[in-house]
Amino acid sequence: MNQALWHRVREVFGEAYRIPAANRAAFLDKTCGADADLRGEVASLLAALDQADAVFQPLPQSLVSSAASEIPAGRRIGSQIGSYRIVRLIASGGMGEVYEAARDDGKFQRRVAIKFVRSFLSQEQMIRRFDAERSLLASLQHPNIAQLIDAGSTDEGTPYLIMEFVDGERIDEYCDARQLSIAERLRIFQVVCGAVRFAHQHLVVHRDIKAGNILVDAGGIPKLLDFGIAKLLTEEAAPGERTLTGLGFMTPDYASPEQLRGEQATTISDVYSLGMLLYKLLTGRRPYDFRSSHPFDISQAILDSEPTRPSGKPVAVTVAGATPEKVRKTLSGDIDAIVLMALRKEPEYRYQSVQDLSDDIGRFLANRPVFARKGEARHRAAKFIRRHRSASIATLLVCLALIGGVSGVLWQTKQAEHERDIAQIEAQKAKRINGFLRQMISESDKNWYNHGQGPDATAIQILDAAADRLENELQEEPAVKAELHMTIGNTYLALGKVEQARHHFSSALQLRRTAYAASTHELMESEYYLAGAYEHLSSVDTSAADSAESLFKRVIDTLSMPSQRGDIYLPYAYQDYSGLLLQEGRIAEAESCIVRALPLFVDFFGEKHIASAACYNVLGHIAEFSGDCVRAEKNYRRATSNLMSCADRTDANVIESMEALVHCLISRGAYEEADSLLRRYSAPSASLTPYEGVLLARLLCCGAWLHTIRGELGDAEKTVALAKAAIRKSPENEIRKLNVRELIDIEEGRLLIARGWYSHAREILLITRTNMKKRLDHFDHIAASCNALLELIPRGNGGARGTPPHG
Amino acid sequence: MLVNVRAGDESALNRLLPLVYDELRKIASSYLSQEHSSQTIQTSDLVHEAYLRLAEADVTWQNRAHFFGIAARSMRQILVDYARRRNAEKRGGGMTRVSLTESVLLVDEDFSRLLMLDDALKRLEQVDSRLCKVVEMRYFSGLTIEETAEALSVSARTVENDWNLAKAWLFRTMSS
Repeated sequence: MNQALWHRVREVFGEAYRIPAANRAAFLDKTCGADADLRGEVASLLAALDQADAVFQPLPQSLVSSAASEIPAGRRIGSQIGSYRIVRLIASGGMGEVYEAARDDGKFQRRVAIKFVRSFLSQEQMIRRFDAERSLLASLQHPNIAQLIDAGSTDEGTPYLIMEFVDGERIDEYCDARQLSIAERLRIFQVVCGAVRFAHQHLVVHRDIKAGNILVDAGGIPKLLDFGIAKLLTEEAAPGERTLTGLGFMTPDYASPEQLRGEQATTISDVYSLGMLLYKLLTGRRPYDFRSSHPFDISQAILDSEPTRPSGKPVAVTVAGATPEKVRKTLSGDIDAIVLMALRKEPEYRYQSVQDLSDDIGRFLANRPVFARKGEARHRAAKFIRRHRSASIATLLVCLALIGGVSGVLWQTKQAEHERDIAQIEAQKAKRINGFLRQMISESDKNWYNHGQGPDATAIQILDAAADRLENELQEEPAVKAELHMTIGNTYLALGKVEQARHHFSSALQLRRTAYAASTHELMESEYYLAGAYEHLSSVDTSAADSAESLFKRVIDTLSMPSQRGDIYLPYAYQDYSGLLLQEGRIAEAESCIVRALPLFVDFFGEKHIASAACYNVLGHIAEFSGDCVRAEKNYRRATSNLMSCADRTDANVIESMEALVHCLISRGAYEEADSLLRRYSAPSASLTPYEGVLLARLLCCGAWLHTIRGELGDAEKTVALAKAAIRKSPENEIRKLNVRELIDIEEGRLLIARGWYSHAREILLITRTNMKKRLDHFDHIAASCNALLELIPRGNGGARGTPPHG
Repeated sequence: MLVNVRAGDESALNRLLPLVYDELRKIASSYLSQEHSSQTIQTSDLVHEAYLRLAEADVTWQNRAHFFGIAARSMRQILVDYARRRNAEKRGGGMTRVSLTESVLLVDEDFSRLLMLDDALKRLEQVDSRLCKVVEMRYFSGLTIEETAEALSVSARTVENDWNLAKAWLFRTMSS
């Protein structure tokens, strides 16, 4: 039958079968006319139709089930993976199957979760990826992250992951079952943020944050599952290309718009997913109305429609002692602003880091103005916090710092809404910056896979490449170029490459001074950072201290003018300048700076913030220098306790203030408390940054001191060895600045004296004292310690092993 | 890959088929695992669930038609393969009159009818491929008239017409 005829048949049949059978013949006569083929065919089909229902008898359900049941789920129960025996099926789904498994080697039992994954990737690709990422993921050791223990593939080639088993409840169900208050929900959310931030610092983006991936155990500790797993399982876009199956096993309702578009997921995509999670925890609802639960409709909603603000609809959460209406009122305003800022469709307008999001929640909890609702000064503050932090965590990785560098520009853009032209120029600028950085990052990602290099190596290489390129690019856009110099400088600083950082800050300053009409804020930003770089160099280059000082002074003078009121660089400049002054022994000047910084910080962030806590620490140092140990201890206690209530504190912050306090306590003989503090700060994770290593070494010196005092010489020796190991990878300028080697020498000397190895002790202590004298003379407390210890060595008892002196 | 399917690339479809096929099979088997043993499964449940899972893997799907087309084809293939296997077993063993599965008796007739229908559908596809799709969606995937219409981007009335025409055509073919 030809096509034309079939079309006619279809057409006529469609009309005819709807007509009562008795009238059909007349209808066909009229419609088909002389076309006998047509009429014959339609008539034949109409006749068949009457009995045709017999063709489609219902399919027996058992047929469907049987046909499809060739691979029963849970078939792995009882089998052995490495040293684990599979006990039960936890879940199965499109992504594969998850089992609980146990290891029982007589001595101890360990429960793990084993995930057998299904992926669109070939087995070869999977294995390559697993090899590349395994060590990185396994290094993510954090109390709120379920750890990846191992990965491999079965004999038949199915890849699997062995993960820490978490016995807990989904975070949203946990919150509701206990009817947690909004504040309690926010706090638990901040803990989750802390874990995500930790992973970001280690270059791992989660990509699949959702309520179902966060379990809270009986002790109320949330744990994130599947960190970085999404990346293992999905196709990654090559630079400039969009991935076709980029979402892999994502649940679309938590995925960010850029992920839905198949673009590369970044740390800021995690911010979005955290926003979705927060929304869910606080309202029990989703921010979008979906036409249906089909992924297609969900994606459309996420891409095209604006989220409803959390207080925009009745909430579906249970909060003890509060009606839904009351909860809704709590959410309206600040929380609305915070959540919506995390959920912005354009990554550039979101919080630029998990830290920023968590900070803002902290501000809300402290009844302080939140950033999401504040004006220009707040924007600058957040921009600065981010930068400052990147400077203080030495291995904050390129990815973060680079992406982070751009945000301020766009936030300012938002502010300038009434000045359309400026806004457009700024947006354009930000776009260029983003483009430049993104390209560097994707190249880094690629290289990483291709060469299997460690993250640090890649970070530096990529940064060097970016820096080289920048020198010759963007000549006609000095503002963009200056911004990039700042970002790259910050990243170098974070990686401990101070000289390179100085170069870039200096280039930025040069451009801002001469090439375009930069704002005072921008100029001061560059000067402040340049000063900071000089300060870092001051321990290895004496003229650097002078440069730092004159820059700090200028920043302080400029920003103290009434017209510049509210600039966050002012308190930071005071604080850093005071550190420099302290280093030079100019205690009175240092004190006058820090007492100016503190109220400004408190005004910006509140008492319980890292910056404010750091001020109390400095005040403690000042008191200690002046010999006022009571006041010193008071300040250190305040710093430590404030810090402990900052959800966003870093290891570095804690170690630093803890060390100061412990030192104080040992000095005045409060050994018990010192001991309990040292113990409570449990052994640091293996993933300390080189900078944190320097601080840790100082804390360990206190530990060694205490051990020696108590006659636990074996422990003291071990602790000294740990301190030496802790600084193995640290940059020289930081080690020198904090006199870590000298402090270790002193503890070694103390231990040798306790063991009666007097001549060896004398040798070490004399060298240390000489070294200290060669340096700036204000470190006389170290020299003084040397002297005090040397005094303990019995005269004339050169090398003989004598009885260890007591006390 | 799924993008290509949308663009109508037949070879992409062929590559996709095993994926959907596999997914359907797995979903069905999870229904049969201990937790679900009391439940029965409808073809439409299977297809919808498979869609949810597979579409999660790629939201570049612009509409559901391609998926349902593929899923329906997969369902058909799964059932026909099974029927063919059972038939072969029967011929090989010579003895098996009924298969005892999940305490429900399946009769040989079910299998034979299915295989005949499959043959007839192959011929129908030559005449009018949309009719074949409608049958796959309605019968093998259990989609309603409206769902089928949406998936194929045609009116419900057209689907109704196609459905009746296909039934008549298949009956005539199968009984000749």
